[in-house]
Amino acid sequence: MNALTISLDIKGTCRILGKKFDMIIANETVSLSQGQQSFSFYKNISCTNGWNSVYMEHIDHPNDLTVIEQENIIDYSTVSFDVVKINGYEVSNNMCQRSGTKCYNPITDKQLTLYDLGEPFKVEYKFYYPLEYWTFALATSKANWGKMGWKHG
Amino acid sequence: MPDNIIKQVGHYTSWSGNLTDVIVGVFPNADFFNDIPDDDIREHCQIIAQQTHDDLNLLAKTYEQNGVRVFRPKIINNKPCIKNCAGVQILNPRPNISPFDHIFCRDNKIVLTWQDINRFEDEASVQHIIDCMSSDIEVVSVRPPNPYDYNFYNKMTMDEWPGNKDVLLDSPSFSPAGKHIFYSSKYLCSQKGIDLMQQHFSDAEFIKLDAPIHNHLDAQFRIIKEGHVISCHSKEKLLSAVPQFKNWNVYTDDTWRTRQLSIAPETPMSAWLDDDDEISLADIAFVHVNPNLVILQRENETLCRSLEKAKVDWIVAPIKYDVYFGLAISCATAILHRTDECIDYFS
Repeated sequence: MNALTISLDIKGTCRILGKKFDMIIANETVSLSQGQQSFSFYKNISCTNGWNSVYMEHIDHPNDLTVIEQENIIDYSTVSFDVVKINGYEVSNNMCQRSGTKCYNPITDKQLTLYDLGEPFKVEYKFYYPLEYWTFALATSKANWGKMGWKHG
Repeated sequence: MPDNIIKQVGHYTSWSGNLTDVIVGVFPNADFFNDIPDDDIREHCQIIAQQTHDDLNLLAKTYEQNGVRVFRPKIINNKPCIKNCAGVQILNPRPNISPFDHIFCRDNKIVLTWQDINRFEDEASVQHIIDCMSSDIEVVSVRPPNPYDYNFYNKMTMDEWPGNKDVLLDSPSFSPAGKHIFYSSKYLCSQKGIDLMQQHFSDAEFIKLDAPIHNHLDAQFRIIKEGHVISCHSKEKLLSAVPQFKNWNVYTDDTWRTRQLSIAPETPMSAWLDDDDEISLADIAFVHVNPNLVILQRENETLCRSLEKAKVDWIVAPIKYDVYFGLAISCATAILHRTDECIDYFS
């Protein structure tokens, strides 16, 4: 039997102040360089029927990514995951949150969003396969009060 | 002339006159979920679906038994699917469970409102009903912008929603009260949407309501009859937001708030299948069949005592999973026509 694969297509924006900003997306290193303003990532990844997780992380955060003057942060580098498409389906923030996707600083445990990430981060991005059942699989997500995705009001 | 012709639409109130024509929401039956591979999810969805399907059918029957003509939306999709709207892929557009959310009728005009991309098929689901309308009924249709700026809407916080980039309009944010139309300024209609409503109903006096009143007004306050109003807010809070009720009897039914608080933030899926009769979303969101009779989804003491004081009787049409969907009788019922009048109730 062939292994299941899906396409992961990410488009993002960034402000890179230092020499480089390395992150790992789905086990692949993505290097952003000084002055870069956008990035894209595309990969076919294996998945299973049911809940899946894709990891994105940026742990090593060089000092030159932040501009500090007299102990005050003047400016800092940022990365935003603006568009995440799974098999062509653009995942909404709402879907992402209700699926239990987590984005946080692994050093401080501070909760973050997928936008304007300016510190070390780790993302566990959750999705359900097959996609057409994801709406209903939300009922098994603890982040969604046990309800399916057909909500009102 | 066939008896499914709709000759007139409109209503000036939610409580006076006789209700003549409604659209009652639909929900697919258990078969919709037959192909879901996960046994637990399938069984869960099928139980919820069949019950909600049956509850809405019973609601429709209850209206018919009380002399109201009932129309039903079509179920567009018979199984889980991915659709495309305005350049965006939509996972499982929601069936038209709550037609009140997208239909507002007044002055022989029907406004088909829209504010949620996941519900882009609502209009198509009632097209066969629109087709039954007399040619002198004006149909105003608000559609998703094409292309839909997914990135713009996706990044918005709850507080920022819905911005003012497009016309986003939500029928339950408006509550007609004779010559006046109350509307909530947050969080569902863009200013462009509110402007559109004001242009179309220029004879009405629009009254903007601010915090603590927000979102769907039918769950915030409900007029039982002239001089009697019930709200989920305290009398003081309601009057501060809506001073027009200052000489009215104001009743408070905030039971749903305390019940909501008692629902654990991580309620497991199975908990929703238990008997949830004690959990209610908005019992006050009832619908008047005539000035002396309402249909409500659940009897609760505060509500029933208030109705008795106003000498209004009630019939119960249960919606077991109302909290699950955030559903109420009023959401499930789009009012097409009432025999009421455009009266000034507040001068």
